[in-house]
Amino acid sequence: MTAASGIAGFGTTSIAALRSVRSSAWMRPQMVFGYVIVAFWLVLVVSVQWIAPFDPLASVGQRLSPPSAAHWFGTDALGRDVLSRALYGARYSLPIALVSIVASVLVGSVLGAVAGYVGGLVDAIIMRIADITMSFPAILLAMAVAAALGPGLDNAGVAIIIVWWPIYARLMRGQVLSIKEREHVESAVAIGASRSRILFRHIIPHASTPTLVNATMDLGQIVLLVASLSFLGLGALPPTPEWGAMITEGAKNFYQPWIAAAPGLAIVSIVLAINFIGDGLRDALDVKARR
Amino acid sequence: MTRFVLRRLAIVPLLLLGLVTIAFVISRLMPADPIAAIVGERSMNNPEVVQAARERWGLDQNVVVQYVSYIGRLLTGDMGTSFQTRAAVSSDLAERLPATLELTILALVIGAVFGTVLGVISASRKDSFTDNAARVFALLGSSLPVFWTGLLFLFVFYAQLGIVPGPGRLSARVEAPPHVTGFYTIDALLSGNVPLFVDAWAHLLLPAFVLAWGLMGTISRLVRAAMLDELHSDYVRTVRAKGIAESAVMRRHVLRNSLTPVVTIVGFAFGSLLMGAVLVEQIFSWNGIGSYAVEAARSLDYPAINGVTLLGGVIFLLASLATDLVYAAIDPRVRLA
Amino acid sequence: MNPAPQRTRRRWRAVATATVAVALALTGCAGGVPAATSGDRPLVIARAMDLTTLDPQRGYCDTCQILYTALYERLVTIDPADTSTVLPGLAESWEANADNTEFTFHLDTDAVFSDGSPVEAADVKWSFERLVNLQGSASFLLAGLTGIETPDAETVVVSFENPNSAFLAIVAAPYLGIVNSEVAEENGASAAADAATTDDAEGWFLANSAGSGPYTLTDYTSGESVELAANEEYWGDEPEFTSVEMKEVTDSSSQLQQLQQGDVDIAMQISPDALAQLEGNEAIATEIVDSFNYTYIALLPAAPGGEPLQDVRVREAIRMAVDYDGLVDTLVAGYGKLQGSPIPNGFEGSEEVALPSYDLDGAKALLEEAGYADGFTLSATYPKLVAYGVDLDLQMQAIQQDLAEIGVTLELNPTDFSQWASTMGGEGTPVTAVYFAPDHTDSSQYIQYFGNIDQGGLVNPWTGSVSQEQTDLLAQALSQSGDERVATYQALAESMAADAFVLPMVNPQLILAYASDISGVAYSPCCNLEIGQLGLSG
Repeated sequence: MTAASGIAGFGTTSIAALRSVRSSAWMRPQMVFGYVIVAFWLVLVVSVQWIAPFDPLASVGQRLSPPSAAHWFGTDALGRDVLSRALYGARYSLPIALVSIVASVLVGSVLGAVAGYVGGLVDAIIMRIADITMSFPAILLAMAVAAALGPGLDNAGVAIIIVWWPIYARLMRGQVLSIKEREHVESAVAIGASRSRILFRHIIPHASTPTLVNATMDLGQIVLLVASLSFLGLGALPPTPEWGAMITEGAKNFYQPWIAAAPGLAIVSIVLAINFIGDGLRDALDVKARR
Repeated sequence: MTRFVLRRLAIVPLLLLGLVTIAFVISRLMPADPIAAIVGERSMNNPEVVQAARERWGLDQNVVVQYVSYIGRLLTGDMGTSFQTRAAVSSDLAERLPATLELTILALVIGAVFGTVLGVISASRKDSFTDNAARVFALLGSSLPVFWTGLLFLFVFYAQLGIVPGPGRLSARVEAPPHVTGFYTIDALLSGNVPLFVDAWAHLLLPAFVLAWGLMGTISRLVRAAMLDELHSDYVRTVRAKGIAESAVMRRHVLRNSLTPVVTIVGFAFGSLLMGAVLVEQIFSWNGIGSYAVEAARSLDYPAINGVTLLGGVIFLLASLATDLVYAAIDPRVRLA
Repeated sequence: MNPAPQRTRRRWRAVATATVAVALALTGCAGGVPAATSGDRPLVIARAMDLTTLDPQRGYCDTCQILYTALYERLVTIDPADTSTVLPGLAESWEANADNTEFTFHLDTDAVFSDGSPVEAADVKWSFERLVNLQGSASFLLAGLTGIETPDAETVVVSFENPNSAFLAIVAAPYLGIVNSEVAEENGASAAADAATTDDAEGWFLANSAGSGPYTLTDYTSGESVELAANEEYWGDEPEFTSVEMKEVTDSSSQLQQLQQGDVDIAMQISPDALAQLEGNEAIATEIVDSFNYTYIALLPAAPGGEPLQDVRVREAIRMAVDYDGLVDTLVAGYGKLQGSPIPNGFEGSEEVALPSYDLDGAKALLEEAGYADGFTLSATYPKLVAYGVDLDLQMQAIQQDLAEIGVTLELNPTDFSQWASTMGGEGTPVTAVYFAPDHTDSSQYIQYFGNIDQGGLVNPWTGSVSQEQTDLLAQALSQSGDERVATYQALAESMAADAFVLPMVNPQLILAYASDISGVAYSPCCNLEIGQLGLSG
């Protein structure tokens, strides 16, 4: 019951379908636009110290001054350059989102694969826990976990993993169940390969493509969730220039809308870019829609 | 069909118990001691005061006893007393739930209606400029942080242009209508007070739109894809071949079949709207369960945290159950399962 | 920057009506009853309320002060013009014995509760005992109480173990309001020794009041509003507004908007940054007044990680490293003052204490002398709050920048208030930052909370020592009065300032912003805002 359910029909796509896609389908205009924006932010993550005009933590101007030639997005309540802070924000939001999604995929996939392959009581226990976790509105659960762990970006990441793993557990379990019956697996069983070997060498690689595609598309939602937790005060600690936390500061200074403008645009641009790529991927892989 | 429903229902109590347990465990894992918030930091040095407060709030017993007695009371409908509002959690929730439902239901309607319209327009003019614009609009909806959009729209439409009212459910000096449903718009109409209805309605529009935008995107995408599928299906080709007018083909056959995914997504949509509501309520000073949840988590209000997660879980479960049932009713294959 | 308020309002109504017209046309609904507007204008106050309870003997908050003052009355009150003058309240006269251990109050026989029954000595005794026995947040105000005698229905004698010259100020605090004991007991209240566990009236007080104040409570929705109606039986001067609504408006900018639009009459927490928006608006009056509130940082050496703070030179260096003028500009746009010791400007003992000043070189030299030339790291846990216009998050980030200049790294850990309270009652934190607003008008409260004395409070559990000097001086002050007491408080203020455990940061001025036809809006030292004094001017 999270964002991924909306695209769950995608789960049956096989690696073959992905390979069969013509290379031009990966280069649709909207996807190229997405690649460029994502690349921009990724470059920024490693090079922001040379690109940002000011130190994001230093008071460098008159406080609360509106956008000007010196400060394109104005300054905040401490006189820090909003643009520089928003650019540096990439260093916090993006790595946390990436790590959270990778960890969720790993945890969820392993548990889902084990559940699907072993079956029986193990399956029942893992999947009931997944069901219950998914029965919580994600943000409520993440909020409660983040509150229990204490504020901090790392803890927000942990909260996100706890909320997000069941999606991949379900996806992987479904894949494993369908692949289990296929020929090459059955032949491996016949040869007498060990269970774990079959699982990790034969089943998981075949089931991973849809998981990876899904993870790409979920990345945007994770970026939003990180920002939401920070917005609620459960993520980044001051003076960290994290986007959600900066929007909270902007909300406190309602009449200085530029404070929230830059971090908001940053979030929108990266999430929109990821969604462009995801949307393009979906189209590229959806055989029917290509007709 | 009946067996499917029963099987689905049989698991609900188990899920609920799981929900309550997880909520309980998480709240007790919090490193902070809620008693400090109750007695105040200066009384924490006074063991007598601390002990008295622990006894009063039932925090002196061990966690297992607390858990068992909580479950026991829950069965009688008693969700405990909030540390923060000092009122029964059940009455707090009952007071705030209508505010959230009014907002999310309107958002659901806006999302479904406009999402469908967008999807239909997109599909019938595939790859045109309109299609692309509609698709970007839809994608934008799922890319925007609602807490930022809300802030931005309030600044532009309320503070600068003045074409929407400010945060809150009603204007100041406006008395809430007599309580019937708790939905201010409906209660205002029931009491025949049209200006009050206008006021409540105007306050609803902006937050509901902000909340609905993401859903609009999801639905328009679904409708577009489903319509394109239908347009290329064999039977539509047959119908067309019969020489029936294109508009009639669209209306009678394609559109109707394309709406199935919209219906089946409603449960999911409602769940995601509730999540968005937590954030939107913050920005729009909406005194609903989202605000209550945030307040509860902030103030270590165990009974309220447990109560609100339980309620959220129940709504989620009901919504997904409803989705399954609707789906089962529509799709004959499931009926046989 | 903003369109004229009236026009703004009509515009959205037109838009809303247009969308509604369609719906009405569809449903065939026509006409309607106009919104009920009585001849009396209700007074609407916008405030971010820090309320949990409305039980007068359980609450302890700024909003509680305001509401309790409107609903309940105290034995005496404080003259707003001169905080050392005590005026009659429910008691028409009073006297203290020579060593300030016994106080006798003679009740005004005209005083009646909102149900018409007379205010009697038994009610006073009951209310005070309930305050003590509920062991709530404000119970400490009656610490050391040994007995309450009621020789007759109009006389109350309160005795204390030790001299307590602060008692007349304390008895004027809103938390010592007198409750109609009969009505309260009927609804589950108890003043008995076991009241902390047996009293069951808190829920009842959420919807009802039982006092003799100018107003009665008619409705309360947490997170939304508190509604009051004029007390028809009020024995004093009838209040001008027959109904008052205090509305939850959490942020300063919404309060400003609603005040500009005429939706509220008084906005209680307008931020100094937003003040410029009100310039030239004749419909709104603004006043800047001095307050007794302040924000501070506390340096607590005995908390884990606080070792460097054991050296008073280090604490002194931190005090000198803060750019105070910059802080007042950043936090309250210049509408604030500095303060030398934990006793705020205007309270006895504050007069001649030196104000802190910024001396970066001096701070560096002191740190070097103390052996910390290379600096060190401190963590600061503090509540995320905006107190009297001061955003503590902002204050701490500014201080973080200042301390970086002397090599001290401050790690910030803002939490919600309840988690902060738990930290202070538990593991502790080497640096914290909060605010303080007076509970009453005697300076003793500042020594009890901030002094290094063995009675709890914020500071002492974390200093690793007890100051015998401060303990003795406080006892001395409580047995004195007049100029003698002022001198003792002065010595205490200087001693606390020298300790440098608590460093006041900003003493913000208060912004009173209200519709210009409202009269009586004032900052009351005992009670914040006295709703009973509000009226319509001209």
